[in-house]
Amino acid sequence: MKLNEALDISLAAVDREIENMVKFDKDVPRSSTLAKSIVDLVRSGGKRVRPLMVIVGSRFGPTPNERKVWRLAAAAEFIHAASLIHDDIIDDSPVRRGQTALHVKLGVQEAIYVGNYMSARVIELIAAYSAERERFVYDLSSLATTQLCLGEYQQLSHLYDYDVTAEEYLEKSKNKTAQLMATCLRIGAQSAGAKDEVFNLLYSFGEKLGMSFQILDDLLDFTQSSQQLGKPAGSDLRKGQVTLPVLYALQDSRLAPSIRAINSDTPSSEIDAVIASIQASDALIRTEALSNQYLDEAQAIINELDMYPAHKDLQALLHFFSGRDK
Amino acid sequence: MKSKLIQDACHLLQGEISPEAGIHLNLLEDDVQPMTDLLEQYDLHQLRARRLLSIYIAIKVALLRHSSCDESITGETLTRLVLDGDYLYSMYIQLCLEWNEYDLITHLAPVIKQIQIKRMDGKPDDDKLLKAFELFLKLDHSRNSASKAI
Repeated sequence: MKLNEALDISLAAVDREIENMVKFDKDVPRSSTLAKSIVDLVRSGGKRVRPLMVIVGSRFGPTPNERKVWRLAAAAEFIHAASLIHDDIIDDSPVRRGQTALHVKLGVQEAIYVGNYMSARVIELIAAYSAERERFVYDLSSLATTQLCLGEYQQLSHLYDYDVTAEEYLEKSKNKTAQLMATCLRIGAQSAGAKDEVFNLLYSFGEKLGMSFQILDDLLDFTQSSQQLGKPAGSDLRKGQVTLPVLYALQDSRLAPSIRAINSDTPSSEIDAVIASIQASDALIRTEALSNQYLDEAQAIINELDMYPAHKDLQALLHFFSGRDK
Repeated sequence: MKSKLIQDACHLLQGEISPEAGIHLNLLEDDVQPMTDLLEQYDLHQLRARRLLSIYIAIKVALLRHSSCDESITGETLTRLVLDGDYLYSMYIQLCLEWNEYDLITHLAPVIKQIQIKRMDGKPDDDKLLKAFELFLKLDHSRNSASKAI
């Protein structure tokens, strides 16, 4: 069963809400390249994990305002999609969701402006709908992407840095990935008037799912075939990103020298051999174990919230995150 | 030579920017002078003038960083230009919230969005930013004068 079906949420309705963010913007003609690019992007697919998390969060409060919740859900996806457009430019990725990436279609500057438009539109909508000042402040500060950018800066400053610590890696992963997921659950819950302790637990649950997700993503870069990945295996390391599997492999004195020798000038064939040695080491099992540990901690939070009927939705989210192909 | 207000605002903003971002505010005086002249027309408290100018500079530098990105720039230079712009756009929100300038967010949000639309259309109209601040200051002044009169 698909995640949205398990949560009893219509994905078509979520997509419609996301498209409406641009369709009902009086400043953007529907026939414009900007509107078409965003609609195409929405229609290219995606599991809409973040909007679903906002809606799930709202089920923990006594007074869910459906209109507001769905708008926040669409806003969360807009923020995520804007960051993906800019990520593709930074990573020089030509493909997104099986389609030509936006910066390849439109040009780098134009793609940057599409992403900027999406972020700015979210701020405009939140600022306009929030009559209550407290909520306005809360939603805006939650969806501001300062932390996400910091995660990117941290990644950039540690390229080919084999002395980066596991703590620094985890901090970067939290900023880049986990924080937005955690925020989605929390803003949903808060918009529905959930109690402080409940939305704080939901934030923590989302953070743990996000950490597990990022760690697993870094693991998949080593375990999946280049066909599945759409890029060569170990491409993170090839680009200088020292992820958790590499950090664990560095603890093996037989592997460390060859890993540390990799730099931006290392021939691909040499890196292939290092990647094969990492794949054959216990680094991947240890990485998966940490990902699972975060899921176990998330399960413990579900147990704490089991008096709420919506705890079943958290279980569905956990099941989805733990069921990704390894 | 940069005016004291510009120096103070740059110093204030630089202090708010995370060292991890590594952003240096290398602005030309011409980029900020019109805003400084505008602020000096109003009887603002020094701290508020400094804060408003900091917010203006954050957005201005974000605009400049992103307009420097093109196909000829690659690698880390491009990455930093994209990230700096993104980070500074989010900083302006954080600063407005931190300094209780909520009305300014509501006023600027559609304008910053419209600037992106214009740039996307290949018809940049970045002067909208200064005009938006001008209108905001006018409205803010009227509001404050009215409340004092009451």
